[in-house]
Amino acid sequence: MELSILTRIGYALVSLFILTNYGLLLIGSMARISAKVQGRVGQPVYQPYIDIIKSTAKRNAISHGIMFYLGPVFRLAGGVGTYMFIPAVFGSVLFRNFSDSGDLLLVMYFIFFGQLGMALGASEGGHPYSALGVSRGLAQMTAFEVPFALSVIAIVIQYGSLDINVIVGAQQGGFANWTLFTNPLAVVAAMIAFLGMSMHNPFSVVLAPQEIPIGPPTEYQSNLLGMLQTNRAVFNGAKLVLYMNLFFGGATNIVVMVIKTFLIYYINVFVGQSFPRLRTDQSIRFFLGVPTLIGIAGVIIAVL
Amino acid sequence: MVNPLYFFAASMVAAFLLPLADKLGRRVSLFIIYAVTAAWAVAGASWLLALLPDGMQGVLHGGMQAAMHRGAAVDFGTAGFGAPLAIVLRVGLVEAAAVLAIGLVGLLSAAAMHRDLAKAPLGGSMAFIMAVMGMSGIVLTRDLFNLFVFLEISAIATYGLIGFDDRKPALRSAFKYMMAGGIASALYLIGVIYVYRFGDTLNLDIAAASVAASGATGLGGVAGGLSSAGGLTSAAGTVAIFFLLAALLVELKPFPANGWGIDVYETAHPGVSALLSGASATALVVALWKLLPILGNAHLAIVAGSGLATFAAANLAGARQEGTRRMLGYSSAAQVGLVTAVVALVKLLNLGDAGFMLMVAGGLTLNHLLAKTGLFLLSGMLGEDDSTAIVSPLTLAVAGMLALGLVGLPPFPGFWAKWQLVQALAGGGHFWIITIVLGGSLVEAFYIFRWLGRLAKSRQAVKDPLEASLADAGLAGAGLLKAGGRLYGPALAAFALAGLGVLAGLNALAGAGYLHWAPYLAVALLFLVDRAPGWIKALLSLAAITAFGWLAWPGLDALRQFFALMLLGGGAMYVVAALRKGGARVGLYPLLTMVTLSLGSVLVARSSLGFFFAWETMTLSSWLLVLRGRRAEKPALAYIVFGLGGAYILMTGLATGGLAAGAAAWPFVLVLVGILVKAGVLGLHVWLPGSYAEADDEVSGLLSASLSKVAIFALFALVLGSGVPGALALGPWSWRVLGWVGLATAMIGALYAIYQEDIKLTLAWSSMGQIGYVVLAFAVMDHAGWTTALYLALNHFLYKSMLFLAIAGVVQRTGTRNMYEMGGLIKKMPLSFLSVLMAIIALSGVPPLSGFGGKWLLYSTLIHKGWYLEAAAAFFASGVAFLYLYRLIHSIFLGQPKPEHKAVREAPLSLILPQLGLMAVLMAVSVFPSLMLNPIMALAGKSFEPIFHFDGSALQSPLGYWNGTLTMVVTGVVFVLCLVWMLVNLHNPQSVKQFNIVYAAERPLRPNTTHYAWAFFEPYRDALGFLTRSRAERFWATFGTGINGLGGALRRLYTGNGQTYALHVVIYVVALYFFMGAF
Repeated sequence: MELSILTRIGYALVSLFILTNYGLLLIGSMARISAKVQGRVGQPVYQPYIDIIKSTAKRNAISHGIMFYLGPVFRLAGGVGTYMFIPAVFGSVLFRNFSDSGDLLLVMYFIFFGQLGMALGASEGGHPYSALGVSRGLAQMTAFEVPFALSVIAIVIQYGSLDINVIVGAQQGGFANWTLFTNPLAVVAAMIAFLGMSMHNPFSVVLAPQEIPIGPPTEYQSNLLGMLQTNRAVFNGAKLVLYMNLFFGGATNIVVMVIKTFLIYYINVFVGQSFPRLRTDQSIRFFLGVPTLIGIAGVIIAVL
Repeated sequence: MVNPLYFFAASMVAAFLLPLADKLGRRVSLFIIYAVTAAWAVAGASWLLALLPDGMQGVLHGGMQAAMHRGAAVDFGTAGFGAPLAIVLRVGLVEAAAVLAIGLVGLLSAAAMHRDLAKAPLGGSMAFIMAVMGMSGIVLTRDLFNLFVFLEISAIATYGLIGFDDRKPALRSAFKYMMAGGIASALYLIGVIYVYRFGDTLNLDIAAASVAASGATGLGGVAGGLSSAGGLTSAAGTVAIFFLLAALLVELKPFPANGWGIDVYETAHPGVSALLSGASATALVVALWKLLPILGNAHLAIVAGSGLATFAAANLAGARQEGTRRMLGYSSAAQVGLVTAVVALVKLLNLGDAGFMLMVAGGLTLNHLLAKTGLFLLSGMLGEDDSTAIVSPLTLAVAGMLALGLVGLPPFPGFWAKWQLVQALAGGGHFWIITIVLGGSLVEAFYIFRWLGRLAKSRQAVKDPLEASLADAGLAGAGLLKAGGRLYGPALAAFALAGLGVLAGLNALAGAGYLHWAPYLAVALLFLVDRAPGWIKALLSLAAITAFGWLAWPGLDALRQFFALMLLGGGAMYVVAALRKGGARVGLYPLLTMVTLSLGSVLVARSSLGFFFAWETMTLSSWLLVLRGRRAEKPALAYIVFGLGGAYILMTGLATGGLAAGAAAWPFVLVLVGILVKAGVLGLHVWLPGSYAEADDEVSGLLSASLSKVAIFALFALVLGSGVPGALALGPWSWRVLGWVGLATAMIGALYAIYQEDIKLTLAWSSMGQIGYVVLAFAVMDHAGWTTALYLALNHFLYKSMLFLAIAGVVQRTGTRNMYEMGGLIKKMPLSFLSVLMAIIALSGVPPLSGFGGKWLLYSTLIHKGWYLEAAAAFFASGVAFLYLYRLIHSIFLGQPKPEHKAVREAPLSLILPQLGLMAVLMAVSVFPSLMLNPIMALAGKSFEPIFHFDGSALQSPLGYWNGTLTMVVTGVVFVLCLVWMLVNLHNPQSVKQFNIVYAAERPLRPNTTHYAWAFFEPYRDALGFLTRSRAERFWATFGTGINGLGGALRRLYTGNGQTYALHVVIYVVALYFFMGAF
């Protein structure tokens, strides 16, 4: 039965609300895990909520121009939009979102929407480090997109469709049907790309979070920063859901989704705590090397 | 008809009485020169009219060939006897035309030499009269010995003429000329003696009859020598004729025995050079043509070989020349070599009948005669060192016409002649000859256009173009005055050339409709009003384009209408954009209109010739447009050389039926390669970045948005013309190779774009990359691929127009093209920013704008086709596009504004308005993709089984779906919600000063050090720089150096030493003899 448009919007808002909260908790818990690894106590799990409330409540002191304001708007719209185009839970009407707008290609390209807008906003801030961060981030992106694209192509060959619902549907009926087991090489390539996408170590040169205030958010404060922080939760969640759908059998209910996405994200943290940071040119060469070859192997396996 | 003997008599009387008449004043002598020369011209004209029964009507309606057959020849015996008792003079169509030409060239030369003849001793004037008479005699006589006499008369007169005004270098070269001429005369005389001994006659017609009778075919050659009793076909007779022939060839200045001739061209008075190059060469070619009936195959082979070798070698040597006169000299030698070769080849290879000979050899001769006469006279006008000459626009226009004519571009006679020649050669499968002819032509085009480009730029170097255009109005008048009327000679030649070319063209293109001529008509009319204010010309241009569209539209099929929107619409848009600067902007509007209409006439073309004519018109007019750019001299040269190279490959393909249904594989491939040069695919792209960057800003947009699409159209036309099944029969792998070529273009184009500091270079490389995607999609060769290709093409037109228009405004306002010198312009130029923003969103393929549709279609198509690696590589290339697009918008509009740009305003209205229109269109097709996709899918559906289809507002592929409308709505709603959220939480923000930024405890002082813009993607170069090392540029540079080196090596033969030259002549003749033995 076709739902009325108002019902769909209502469902989408609920779905978004759940994902946002989950995403915030996920960030909080991962920060805590990292702290444990480094022998610190770390922040409380609910720290991201506190950060956002604090930022939003602050007075805006500074304006650099219209595009500067629109940057976070683009960013958040990009994160939310990406999520809106992904069916989060297989077969669920509530979590279907607006995935009938387009297939996997739409999701892959909509990811850029927020990044581009944010980059422009940050640029108008006039801070050289913002542009520097964007330049590094974009350069790195072009490289990790290659293994990712290859693994996506591999699964499209495998399942004969770009429709995420069809891809998830084909993986139902037990572990053995997951892409992870039917085409492990493609998944390996995609996971390596995911490390780059998340901008954790060793690919964190874009934000260089520890040393200097570099990267797109440099000039942002108050509610604009709050929006960026919110987006981080939504966007991360959306990407995790996408990965879960493509490679790990998707989820038939919210609990499975939480478990699976938590584990996928954990890989990030695990790798991030184990490796030092690469320079931009090093990470470009890295992604276009072994991961790309693995991706090509994944495509070949899928063709065979 | 008047008996030619009277004119000989009159000439001699005039020459001998000149010393007496001179007592009455030099004016009288000069009058006599003009009168006698004019008498020859009038005689030629009157014979021509008498021989063409219906006059020019015959040419127009019956065609040249019919006229040729109708025009009979009239013989004039001397002393009341006919042959063989007396010398016979014959006036036929060819002879009449040649005498007319000699007379006219003589008049022009005399006019050019007027002042010097007036000052110099009288000998020069006498020599002049005798030279003209000698040349006419060479043309008219039918007697071999009499031919010798006239050769000697014209040669001796020429020696005198070369040295008439006592220039020392000329005297030296006259001596060298005499030495070479002496050897030639000796050879000729020996030949005459033996021809008389073996053939018993000196009358050409009787000799020809006996040759025809002795050999069944009349082409006995050495083999016919079995009847050793004698006869001209015997071995001895063949050798006798060889001596005649060798002498004639030496006179025609063949390679390598032509150093003496080239020295003369360089050093003599320009008028003398014109007379030699134009009139004397014509007379000698006619003499050769007259000898044809008694020549055997062996003779013809050495004539053809020598001619082709001369054409190739002289052009190569010419490419090394810096001096105008010497360069023209080499070009003369080359052109005469070509005509010589053609005359022999037509008979040797049976390329065609007498009409064909007249059209091709006659056409080429005429072309050479007029162009070279004009250019030599012009070079005299420009003085010794034309690199510093300030040339008036009118002079430049004349020089341009002559140069274009010389190279054989449309609409000049050489173009039609070359087309026929290549057609005939291709029909006979003589591809190595085509290669020599076209290769040599290309080298010639290179140096002639280098010269023309320098001439055009020498004018601009002195003045700013804007200033120049304002001052032009005064200059043109002054230029004419200063030239003291000396320009009318070259101008006359140029207009005669154009007129004859159009006449030949009307004949060749009869029935193809007159729209082909619209570009020329428009450019001619607009140049007439070129002093008018810009807006008047813009209106006229728009009217011309609209009228063309109106007339052409009903005759176009859906595909052509689709492209007409981009080509004609784009042209009209850039005409509007040209209004961004006030003033007349001399030359811009006429050429913009010409390019636009030539793009239109490519669509209108129905025949191969029509297509090629339009294609060359486009190449030539767009080159002139590129050349207008301030620093465009070098890029424009690359543009035209590659443009012509591609066109010649295309021509060869077309000549072998590449566009016809069921074409064979390799003509198809030739046409394809020719088109790909214009598309600028990787490896053949070296002309592209420079010319896009250095052309005027609105011209760059036209090149990228519209002109590149004509290559795409040609791809479709090629496949549809030869039939889709035929094209597919080339095999899947050949199409896949084309796909990879497109892909490599896309990838490398994008990679180069990210390293550029010059904004126009960025856009140029980007354009190249985007066309690469179109080629890739086209190569898929199914419904999906073609839909994608057409969609991408239209999209590229939209967003690249927006970018180029916006950037034109930015460059105009800031006065720089370096992105790092800009910054923070968003507040000054918000509309331009918006336009660029929408364009880069569309170009990068980010939803929800229509660019995403292109990406979706492309990946769906590639994966569906099974081109998986291509899809991944395309993904990478699209990612790289993000880099340069971000860099572009950041470095220009965002970041730190510069103090020197405080006063910058928004771009002019004439740039903003088209952008607003394009933005509206872009939004419309983004919200409703079916608006654009339905017609495109229908177009592709005509040739292939449909793959994509619409289900409601969702586009369905076999793999997935995309609902553009819903995407737009969702994105819009989400965006608005986020915006509202941001605004609700905005608490009283305050604007801060430029440097109020968080800067790690450092206070920035100057925007120049705070604007991160220079070497933006250096890490990328560290990682992937090895992909962008200008390999193609180096390859072509090496290739060019090789050609140049070859030219240099050949040039070493020309030592300037008379003895060496004499030795060359002897060696040449001996070599020729041995070669003849080989046949």
